[in-house]
Amino acid sequence: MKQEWKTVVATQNLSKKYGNQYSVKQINLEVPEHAIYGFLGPNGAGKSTTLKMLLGLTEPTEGSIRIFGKPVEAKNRIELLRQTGSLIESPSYYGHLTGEDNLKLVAALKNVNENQIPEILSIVNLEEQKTKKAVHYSLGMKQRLGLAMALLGFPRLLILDEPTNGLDPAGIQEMRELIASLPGIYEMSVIVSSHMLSEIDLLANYVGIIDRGNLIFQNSLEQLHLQSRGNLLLRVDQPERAKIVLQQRKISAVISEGKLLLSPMRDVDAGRIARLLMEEGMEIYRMESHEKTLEEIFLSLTHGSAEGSGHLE
Amino acid sequence: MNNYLKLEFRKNHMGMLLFLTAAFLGLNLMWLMISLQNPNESQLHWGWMMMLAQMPIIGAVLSPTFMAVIASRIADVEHKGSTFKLLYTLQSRTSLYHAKLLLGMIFAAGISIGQALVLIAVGNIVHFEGSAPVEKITLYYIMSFGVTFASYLLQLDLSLRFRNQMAPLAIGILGSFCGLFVMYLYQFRILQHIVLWTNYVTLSASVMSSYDPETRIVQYEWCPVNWYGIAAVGVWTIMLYLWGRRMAERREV
Repeated sequence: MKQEWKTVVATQNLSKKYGNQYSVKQINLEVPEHAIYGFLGPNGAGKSTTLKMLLGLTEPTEGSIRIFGKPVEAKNRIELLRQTGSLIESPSYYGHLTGEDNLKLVAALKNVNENQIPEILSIVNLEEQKTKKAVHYSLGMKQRLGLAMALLGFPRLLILDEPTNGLDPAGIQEMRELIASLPGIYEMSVIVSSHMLSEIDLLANYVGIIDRGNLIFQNSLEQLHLQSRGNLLLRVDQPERAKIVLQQRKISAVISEGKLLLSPMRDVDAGRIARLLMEEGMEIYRMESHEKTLEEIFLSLTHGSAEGSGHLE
Repeated sequence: MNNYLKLEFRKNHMGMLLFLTAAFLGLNLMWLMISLQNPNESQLHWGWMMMLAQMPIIGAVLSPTFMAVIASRIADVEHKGSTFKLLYTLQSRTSLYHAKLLLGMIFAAGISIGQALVLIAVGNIVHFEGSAPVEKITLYYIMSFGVTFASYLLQLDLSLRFRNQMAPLAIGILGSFCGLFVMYLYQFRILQHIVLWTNYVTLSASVMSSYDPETRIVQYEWCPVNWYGIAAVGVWTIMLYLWGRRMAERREV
């Protein structure tokens, strides 16, 4: 049964054109409240452009945006965006100021009490380095400072563009755990973009897949996984004859590496096929279901275009 | 706006900006003191008018370059930290532009007041004849502030536009030299108004009226208020403001 969600971000035909080329083409995003929305796509697919349009950093060529149910317009844009936090591409900071002073500046801009800063620093694990100048932070620390700025004021919506970029494995794990905890502890909704399927698989509960500017999938992670229902692989003693027998009964099959490959089917149908082949005097050595990996699902959704349009890990 | 201006003070390297301002005024002082090392009778007699005729040249050389450096630092603090994409989600583009504009205006006003005080101090140290013509000095530095602020606007617009600050700085320095060159094209009065930096001279409070090469006696006279010059600077200011504001509003990051 489809879960009922309240939507925090909705776009309608959102597009961005540079010259004659669409970077983002008529996408209709729907980000459910309190979800972690994984925005997945190869490099150059249009993820950052879409997120920048949501944040008003780039003007859409066409289409509309609603945040928290309200249409985003010039007059209410800042008011709505103050209820969000964002980290786009790389962290923003004043290098000559300490981490704490950077947060104080952002607190003033967000109209948030500075009393929140110690708690935020502890969430991102930067208390020890708060008096250090940001320019001397490591990449991971800068990324955490960026996240701390986004978290100030505990916004209802967090927009994170590739937040684990440049982090070491421990940092990635730490960042992932932190993001995963946000909807539960602070009742936030999170949009997190990534070109890494494994990351989205571990982090998100709702997924949007963008490829060459087109939103090609949008649903819960569960629904995405349902698409992994695999082909049936049969290893028999006479594959050519088995193929003919099945085709006579209008069951399509192909031979791949000496094995019969059949489309996904119910268990009961698989049993019937096995019985039929045995009645025809054939030996069945092995029957297996070939589960698709997320990458294969992605490639099947994009018809293999990921290879041409960017890099997906 | 008051809040955004306060934030500009907090986020900029104010120590460095104040040091640069002090160095700029120190340079002004040094220039004047060196030019008046052994003043003769004529120099002491015409002192105040002579200084008011010289200051526009110093202004045209130093002030635009100084404002280019200030604008560059005020804009670069955002470029370096990639902060536009954060700020534009928390404040309007125009409020950020206005805050930076106001900060620069404070520096332009600061150096104009500072230059006037340096002039009065030098006149008193060297013992020019008569008391300082405060009214003329004030009027000149109000007009000089206009040119300095317009040059700051140009530099701010360019510094916000370009990530690499070498281009705006080069334009600032070239502008200064261009201003100096056009200053001597007396026959092209309109051109002198069109070239922003030359207006330090077109708005001058006094000018050399005669020079006798044999006796080396120089005479000066007060200049009337140059309304064309004031109008030219006003047009420049409005155009540069509208251009910068439009760029800020349309900026994509």
